[in-house]
Formats: sequence, structure tokens, C-alpha cells
Amino acid sequence: MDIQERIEKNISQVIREELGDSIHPDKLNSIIKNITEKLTFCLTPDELVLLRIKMDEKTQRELAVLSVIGQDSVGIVAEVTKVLAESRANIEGMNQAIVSGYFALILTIDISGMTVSLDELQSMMDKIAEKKNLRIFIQHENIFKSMNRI
Amino acid sequence: MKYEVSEILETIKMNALENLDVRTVTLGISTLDCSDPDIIKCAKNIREKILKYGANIVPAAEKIARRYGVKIVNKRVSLTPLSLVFSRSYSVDEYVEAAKIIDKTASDIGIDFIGGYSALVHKGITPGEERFLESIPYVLSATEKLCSSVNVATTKAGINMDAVLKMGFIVKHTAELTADRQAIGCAKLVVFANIPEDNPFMAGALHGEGEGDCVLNVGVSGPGVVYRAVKALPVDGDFDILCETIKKTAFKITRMGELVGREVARELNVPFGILDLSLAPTPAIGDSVADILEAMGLESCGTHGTTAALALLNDAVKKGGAFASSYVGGLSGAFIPVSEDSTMARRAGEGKLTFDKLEAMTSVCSVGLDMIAIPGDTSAETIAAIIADEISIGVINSKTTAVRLLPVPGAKEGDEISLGGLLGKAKIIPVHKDSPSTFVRRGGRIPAPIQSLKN
Repeated sequence: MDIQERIEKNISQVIREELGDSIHPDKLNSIIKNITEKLTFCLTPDELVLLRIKMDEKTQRELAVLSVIGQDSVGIVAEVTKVLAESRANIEGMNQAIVSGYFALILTIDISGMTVSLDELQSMMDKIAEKKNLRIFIQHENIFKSMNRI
Repeated sequence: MKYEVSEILETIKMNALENLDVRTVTLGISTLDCSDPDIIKCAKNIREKILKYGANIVPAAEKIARRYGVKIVNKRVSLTPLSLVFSRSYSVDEYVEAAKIIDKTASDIGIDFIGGYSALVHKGITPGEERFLESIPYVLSATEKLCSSVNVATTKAGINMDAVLKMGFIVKHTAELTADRQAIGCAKLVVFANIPEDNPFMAGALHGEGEGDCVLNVGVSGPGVVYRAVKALPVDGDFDILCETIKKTAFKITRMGELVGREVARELNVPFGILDLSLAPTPAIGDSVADILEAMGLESCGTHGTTAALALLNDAVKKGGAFASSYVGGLSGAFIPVSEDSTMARRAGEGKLTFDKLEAMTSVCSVGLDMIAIPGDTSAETIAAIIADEISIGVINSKTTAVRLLPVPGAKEGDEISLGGLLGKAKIIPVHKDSPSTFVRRGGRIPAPIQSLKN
């Protein structure tokens, strides 16, 4: 569903909730078309992209943060991302840093379409962590949201 | 990235290294509808009610703990004060039999403690309550997880000194009946003033009469996190910086607790009740309230300045926490349970933190004289007088105070007791030897203070 269709659907929902069936379907469609056109014309392309991101956030994604901490060694990223790809966890953001001499890899992953549970993913990551002498944490993003955002 | 790397690493550091955890999720269950003239039938009704709401509390809590990478140390249940539910007087054996059924239910669902073997006798004691109170030592010695609390005073009612004296003897008797286990029964018995109806912490948790059928309350921990935040400050940083740092840290701790509490409540399909933002220490190294006070600049917890440091800590924790939670309740202040706080226990053992100083500290924090091991030859009258002192602080200041003492039979000043787990270990500290017997034996009530006349 593209952005225009989604806007139309939402506007239609609001009008129906407010007015019920008292409005003629043709009249409803013409109002929706009018509003949608005015809305999309008044947005710049950049704003349209932002709007799409916001709507995506609301409707689909469920994010978790995967943090890998420990001694740096060859192949950490490869092993972690291989398991993520096999589990259908999409990487939404990636950051790597050296903190107090330790390697820290932080991935934001979308877990909404995963083929395994969060527990199972953690178990798979625990195996990599043991093999490579690392610590790997997977935490639902809500904990970071609640502790760091008001 | 939606979150800064520093924010993510800070959270991981708090969880993995600084002992930040949820101390307890406590399911409050009303047992008012379980009453039956046959006490065994009543206990079985209570068992059914606990199983109805609480059978899944452990797996639910563990699921949420894994989801957020946060440890939930204890899972508990609190019940309506059982003296209200057991409808008449019974024999000690009957009380013990009923208590064992409830205790076994707690074991069956895998929780750590169950609270509610409690009575509210702040204004008077009914004949049924009298028998109930006398059963407490036997019940605590025959059960493992069941905890008891008795409210002997409120700001509105004054202090029931008959109940206070009685509790002196009950504490002593409980110690004697569990003498083979270093008076552990006393660790499960608290005497209160102004007892809260929604406290998730043991041994004083109960489900008040004004509560609904079932509710999930949560208690956070976090002294380790506050300690490291304070420790990281420059030693010459002023009180402004100190208080702000504690407030911000308390905010984060509380938000985490509230999130976890709400999620566990949703998982169990019960309403979320309150968050108790008390800083609750554990015997783990680095998870100590006394460490925080010493990090503020005191050479040892117990020296002059300790009460001021604790007052500052308690206030800043409340201010940070109150903003972070929608429903703050329970005790909500810093705890100073001596045996459960490794540094506090050490300072008490060294003689640097005295009994009298502990009493002074309780006037500015929650909850009271907590987990203090005292000589086994301390008289019941002296214990009653200690209770009266502490309870007066609560009544006059319109706050909750409580007493949980362990007069360990055969133990003398300097001996060490070890209770294991969260209860920790401590050395026996001395109490005053001069007798308060004539005072506490006067009988009757100390009237409600003038502060209570607010209408």
C-alpha cells in the first residue's frame, strides 16, 4: 500500500467513525480525494519520506537492540549477521565502537518478521558468544526508550 | 540509530555490572472471598485462589526478564491479612495446619515468599486476633516461605501498647522456636506503624482491604547503580550535583522497574498496581546503601553526618522516582536492613554503626530497624520498648516505620550469624541493658498525636 492509499484509508476511517453511515459513499470518496491531494501537494519530497518512516514505525516494526561486547577478533560481524539473516531479523541500524579498550558492536534489529523467538535468537547468540569469548545481549527496545526518553 | 551508543552501553553496564535488577514482582491477591468457618477449608480456598491468579507468575516474570535482559530476583505473592480471613479463633495446631497449606502452595508455584500472615491491631485486639498473634511463632517455625506482619500503630489511632508488649514476647518466642536456624523465623516477622496496603517487599507485604481482587506490584533495587554514579562524581562536587546525579539515576531505575512491572502484569492479565521505588540493597558486594553514603564522603556509615547523607539520598531517590512512575506506592524510600547490606553489616560489626544511630536513620528513610541481630538474652520487654521507640517515629512523622529484630538464642555481642540468600549475615550488636519494663507494662494505648487531627 503506498503512502497516498494509506492516508486515504486513515482519513476514511476517521470520517466513518465520526459520521457513521450518514454520509453518502460518493460524497465520502470525493472529500477523501480532496483532502489527500491537498495534503500531498503541501508536503515537500523530504517531508513525504519522513511521513512514510513515521507511518512505518507505527504500523509494522518491532525493534530490539543487539549488543556485542568483548575482545575484537576476525569474523564477529560475519557470524552475528549470518544468524540474523537466517532468522529473518532485519538490521535497521549498526554502530561499532571501541569502549575502554573493548570492542562494542550495536545493532538495531527488526524482530517483527523473525522466524525464531527472541529466546531462540538469544540462545544462538550465546553459542557465538561462548566460541568467541564475547558477551551478546538482546534487549527489546522498550527498555532503552523507557530509561532514556520521556 | 534511534539510541546513542552511550545510552545502550549505560543500560547494559547497569544490568550486567552494577546489579540493577527488579527486586520483586509481587502479586497481591484478595482472599476475603475465601473465608470459611472450617479453617482448613478456608486455607484450601486460598490455595485455589492463589493458583487461579498466580500459577504462572514465575514463567511470566522470567519471560519478561529475558525480553529486556533484566533480572527479576524474587517472585512473590501477598494476601489479605489472614486474621481477617480466618473468621474465628482456632487452636494453634489448626493455624499451623492452614499455614502449611498456604506455604506449600507458594512452593508449588515456585515463588520465593508469600506474605499476609498478618493482623491489624493498631487500636485493639479481638479474641480471635489474640489467638492468631499467639500462633505466629509456631507458624513461622513450621513454614518456609510464609511471612508475617503486625500493625500495632497508626498516626490516626495512636499506639496500641498492649500489642507492642505482646509483639515483644512473640518476637522472642519466634526466635526460640527457630533457635536451631539462627532465629530465621524472626526474619519473616515485621512489626509496623502505618503499614502500607500495597507494599511488594517482604516480610511486610500484604494485600490491603481497599485493594481489588488481584494486582501486580513491583519493587526495584539499584543501590549499585546509584553508588557508581555517586562514586564517579568529583569529591569536591557540591550538593547540587550530588542530588541531581541521584535523581537522574533514580529516574532511570524507576522507569525500568515500571516497564517490567507493567509487562509482567499484562502477561498475567491482571492490573498493574504500584511501583515501590525503594532502594533495596542485597548482600552482593557493590549493592549497598551504606556504600552510597560512604561514597558521598563519610569515612564510615554510622559516623556523624550519616543521617543527613541518608536524608539527602532518600529525598533525591523519591524526587527522581516519582516523576518516572505513574503510581508510586508501598514503602518507597531507602532501606537499611543491616544483614542484607554487606557494608552496613560490616560497620555494625565494627561498632561504628550503633543501634541508636540506626534508629536515628530510620526517621529519614523507609522503613525501620531492619534485620538487626541482637543478643539472645535481650528481654521481651526491651524488644517491646525498641518497637515502641521505632513505632513512635512513624506515628509522629506520619510515615511507615517497622521493626524486624533477631534476638538469636545463645548468641552474644560480636557473634556472627549467617541467614543465607538475600537475608545475608551480620554480627550481634548490643542494645541498652537498663530495663524499660515498668514503662512498657503500663498497658493501654498511647493516644493519636495532635498531627492526626487534620479534619
